[in-house]
Amino acid sequence: MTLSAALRTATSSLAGNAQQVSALSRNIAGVGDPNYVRRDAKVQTALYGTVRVETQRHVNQSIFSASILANANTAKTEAIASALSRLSTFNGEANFAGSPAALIDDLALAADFAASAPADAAALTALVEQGRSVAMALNSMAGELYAMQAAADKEISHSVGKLNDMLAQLEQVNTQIVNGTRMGADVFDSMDMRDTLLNDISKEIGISVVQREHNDVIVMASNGLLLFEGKPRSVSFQQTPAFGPNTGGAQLFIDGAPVSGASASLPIHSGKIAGNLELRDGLLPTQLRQLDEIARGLVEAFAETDQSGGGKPALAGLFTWSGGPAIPASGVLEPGIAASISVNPLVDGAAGGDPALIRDGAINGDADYIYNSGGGAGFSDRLTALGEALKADRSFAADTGLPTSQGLGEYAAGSLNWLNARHRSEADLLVYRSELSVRFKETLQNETGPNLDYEMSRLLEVERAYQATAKLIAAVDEMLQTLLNSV
Amino acid sequence: MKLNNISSFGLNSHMRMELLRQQNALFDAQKEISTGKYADLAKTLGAFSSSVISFEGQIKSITQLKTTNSFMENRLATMQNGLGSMVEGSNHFLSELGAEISGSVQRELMAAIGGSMLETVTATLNVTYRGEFVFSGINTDAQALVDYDGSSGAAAKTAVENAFVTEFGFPVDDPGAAGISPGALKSFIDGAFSTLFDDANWQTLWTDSALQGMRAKISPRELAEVPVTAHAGGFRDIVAATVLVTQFIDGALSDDAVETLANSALEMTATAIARLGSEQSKIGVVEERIETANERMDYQKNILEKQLSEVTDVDPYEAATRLNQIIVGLEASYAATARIQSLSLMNYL
Repeated sequence: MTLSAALRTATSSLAGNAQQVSALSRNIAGVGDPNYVRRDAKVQTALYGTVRVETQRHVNQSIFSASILANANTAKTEAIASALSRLSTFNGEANFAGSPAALIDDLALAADFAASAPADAAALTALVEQGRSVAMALNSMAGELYAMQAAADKEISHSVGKLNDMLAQLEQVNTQIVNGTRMGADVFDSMDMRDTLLNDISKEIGISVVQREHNDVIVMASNGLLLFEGKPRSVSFQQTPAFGPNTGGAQLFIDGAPVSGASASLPIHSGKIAGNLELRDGLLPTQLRQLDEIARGLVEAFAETDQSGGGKPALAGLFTWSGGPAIPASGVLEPGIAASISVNPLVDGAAGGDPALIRDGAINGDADYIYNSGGGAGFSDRLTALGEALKADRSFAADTGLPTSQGLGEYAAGSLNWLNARHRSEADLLVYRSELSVRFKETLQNETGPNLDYEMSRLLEVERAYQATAKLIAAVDEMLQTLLNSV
Repeated sequence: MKLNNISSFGLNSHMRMELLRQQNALFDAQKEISTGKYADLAKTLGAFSSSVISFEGQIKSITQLKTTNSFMENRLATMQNGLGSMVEGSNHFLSELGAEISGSVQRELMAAIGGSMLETVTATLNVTYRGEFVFSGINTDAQALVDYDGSSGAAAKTAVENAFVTEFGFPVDDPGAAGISPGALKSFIDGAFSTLFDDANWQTLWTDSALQGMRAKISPRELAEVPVTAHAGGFRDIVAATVLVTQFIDGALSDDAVETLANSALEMTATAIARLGSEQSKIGVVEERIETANERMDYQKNILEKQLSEVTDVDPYEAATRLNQIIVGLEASYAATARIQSLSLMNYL
């Protein structure tokens, strides 16, 4: 143990202090960054009495994985919940006054009122107008649903574009990290950037990350398909600009395999993309099917039938549609009828028709369909029967999420219940999932984020150590000087 | 000893999130207090949303039924009034006929009385409510009784005159009519004359009314029909009596024949009065049904309104208490945030 050894130790100590201060200053700078992982500068003893400072970066990998998983789930539920929230506004604020169920109730009321005053032209016209309200509401709801499908499709296309960009960025950063690790350089900043990218990617599509040697990662989608391995894999999607009655949407392909739709053996199920896919392919089409069945039920309920016993087919009454005057088959889905249902111009006073024909029958001009054979203006039986027809059981197509045999009013009410039940459960799920997301994020931050007070007190410590080392050097220098002076 | 690290960023963002959460709850609570209903009804009710529509629909239905019931009540009241005045007029006619038979009323005067009675009956039967003929059943735009002396009654008048000519070979003001025996006249009145007022002829010659009365719902599950139309027997009887008198009494018939005629008219009028009375009670029955239905519906409506408010209304006391709690919590959060933010080692260096 010589003085020169002491000097050598002091020198290496000063270098170590410098490294520590560098790490501390980096930490203080990163206090406001939520994705920053604190650098830990550890002082270690090395050979020949020197010290060495090793900077480490600790990220808790398991919490990180859990956090990105929670992000993906929250993003999916958010997409679905906000669409449901928008859908439920169509039904109106005041006790769902704008919903098809409420409008059909009002239609029954109008029919009953007309039945009590069949000779009154105003009552008959009011019935036609109420029919118009129902038809227009169904038309506009169907239009909105098609528009929402197109919007979901656009969002998917957007997300896929973003995803491809982020995967390209990931390639750059990852290559930097791997090369830097091989050369022994400081790659911590790049690793922070990569973690931020992975976080953002997980919001679009659920991923799992696997570490490899040299700090390399491979990224897989939650269904197991590779998204990134050295180079990004292809994620491709064809946008459909407009949706209509029989439009499906394009499938999403990852690395050439379909991950959405009926032919997908490995569908994705988390992330914003998955949320929008479920909207476009599941929730919105089911709601459309229900609307179509309600429209078909209306056309059927108001149809006029052959009263002469000749067995002629039923013809359109108050409501007609794009395929009218024929009536669509009972219990069979007719896509697009909700968008095309309208008031029959033959009974619409505003279109040159005669509302009194609803009371009498033979709307389409065939005398075999007349109900009011006596021709009296006070004939109310047909109108009463029309009011009852809205409550009578009829058959509905399967695969709409609702029972296949019930009254039309009941079916429409069931549709409202279905939507609101879904709205409620998704809203509750969103609260739970976002709570979970926030918790994981907070835990991760607490484990890895810098604490300003801690860093400042460490800085004080390092300052003192530096002062002490400097004093040591001065002392040794003095001793050497004394020695040299005496020679 | 392992201490959990707390990052500065985490600490601050945690407090911010708490504030945001409480402010969201505040927003909802405020909305509920000011409207008195749940902030998001769809989320609150979920799968039971349609119960709201069901209650509202039933309430609206009852309100409408009460309005349409008042239409029917007024229609029936109009008919009751008409029947009442007809009964009164018939009683008066009866006494006039009695006076004629006893000889104190002249034939020409009797004919005139008969004529004006027929006009009164026609006007009463053709009474309207809201522009609709109340006695015409479902043919509300058609007259209940033709105007005997006018153009609409020409066919009827011709038929009556022709019936007499067919029976006796000459019209009533022909001098040969004096030779008609009371018995022959009686058999004419009971035979060919009465046939003019049977079902087929009544529909063809005298009335455009339908056989079916107006039908309407008087409560959610009940249908009621107006029980009286111009086809009722009582109307036919009084019309027959007055036509008989006005058409034939002032002709060339002998005094005995005229007495027979007057007696027949008297009988017909008496029958008419009895029958008209029973038509009045038929209408009374329907009126009572409507009244009972109205009472029942009022009661139902109260219950439905209560049920609806239970489902959609917020308890105002609970909401106000909740709002207070949130405000207190928010203020505590503000104080804590301010104090914690000011804690820093920097202040002491």
